[in-house]
Amino acid sequence: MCAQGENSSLTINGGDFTGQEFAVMAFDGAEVVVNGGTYETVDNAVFGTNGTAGRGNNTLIINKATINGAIASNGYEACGVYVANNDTVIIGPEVRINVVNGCGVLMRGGDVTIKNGVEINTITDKEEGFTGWVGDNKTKMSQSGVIYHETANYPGKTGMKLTVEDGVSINAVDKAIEILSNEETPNVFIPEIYQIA
Amino acid sequence: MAIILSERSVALSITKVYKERLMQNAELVAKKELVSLSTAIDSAAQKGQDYLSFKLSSSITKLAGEYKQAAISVIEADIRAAQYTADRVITNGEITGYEISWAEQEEVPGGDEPTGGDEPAPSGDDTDDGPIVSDANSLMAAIDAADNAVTIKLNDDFTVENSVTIPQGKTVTLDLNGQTITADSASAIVVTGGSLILENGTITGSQRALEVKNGGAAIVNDGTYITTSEG
Repeated sequence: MCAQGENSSLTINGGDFTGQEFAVMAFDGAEVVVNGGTYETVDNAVFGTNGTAGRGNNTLIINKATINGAIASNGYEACGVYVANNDTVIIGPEVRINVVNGCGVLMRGGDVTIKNGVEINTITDKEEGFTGWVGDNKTKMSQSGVIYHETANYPGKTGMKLTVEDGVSINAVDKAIEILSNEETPNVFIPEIYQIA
Repeated sequence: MAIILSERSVALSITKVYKERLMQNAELVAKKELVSLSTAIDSAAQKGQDYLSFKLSSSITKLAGEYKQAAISVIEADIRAAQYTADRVITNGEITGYEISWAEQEEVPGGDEPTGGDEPAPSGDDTDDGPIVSDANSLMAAIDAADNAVTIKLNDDFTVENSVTIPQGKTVTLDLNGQTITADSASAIVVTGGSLILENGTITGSQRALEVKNGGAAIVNDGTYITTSEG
């Protein structure tokens, strides 16, 4: 499923969506609203946007959804929601993200809010320390629940912001929330329980 | 302080857009329900009935509060416009359907002036009755022929060699009716500026089951959607 371009909108109220990669994508200023459904991919991220300059400014609102991610390609890892540009993304409240051999949410730009009630699980059958590429083949990522990847230096990183509300449950192979940033004060607002002193 | 206000403004803007979309969705779902209601009334009338018990679909009953109310308002306005007699069916405090009658009302002796005229009741909507299709060519022909909003129902599985296109100016509800469309092309259905409601079946595409672009709008209510290739 794909929405592309300003004023294009895709509303999904339910259903089962299985993709080789990217069950749902948004490009070029499109809007996607999810009010239900089960979403699976076998070899890449489940929800995603495009990191190329000018292809962002999408709005992605995901609620009442189950998102199951997996990976098959060597060198890569799975991802639940991949925010690659200056997109606005709201996940929750009723969303469960289950990822095998990968990360739950990876952002390289945009404004991402993960709301109270969201559950993110990453599990693995790989060797300890497994990492993999997502979206490109430059930096191998961990199997963390949420990754703020400002150091990827994507075009949409300016003003990127992550908000994780109280009540978000994260059970991850690696870190619950991983901040990869050169900024002195990353634009990250997360519950105290996930903050590292 | 300026930053806080700015963030709040963005959040309010997103919420407003989200609510507008949900409201548009509710109205579209209501119009689709009216197509089903109109079809059910026609069918009942052909059997000589002058009444109908109509149960609202889950597309309506599952809507959240204000959106359900908006959809109900659209439906009941249409029933009133058609000058039918309708009683709400209430289950657990929620409207779940209507008991509708189109029998001519007996004049009450000494009563008020009748409110209705002698003209036949208007249909109340400008939606075409839906064609039933069983192959790609007839599906494309039905879309091309639609002047107004149309509901197209499948009665067989079929394969499309090229993408099914919903162009600007077309408003289509595609009731897959439990059938499967398989696409040889990268995208099975492409909404290029038109509007589409999709439900009740399976679509298998190479790279995309559904693609929306050029300002198009699509609502997927349910169904199974599968892609088999990268891209």
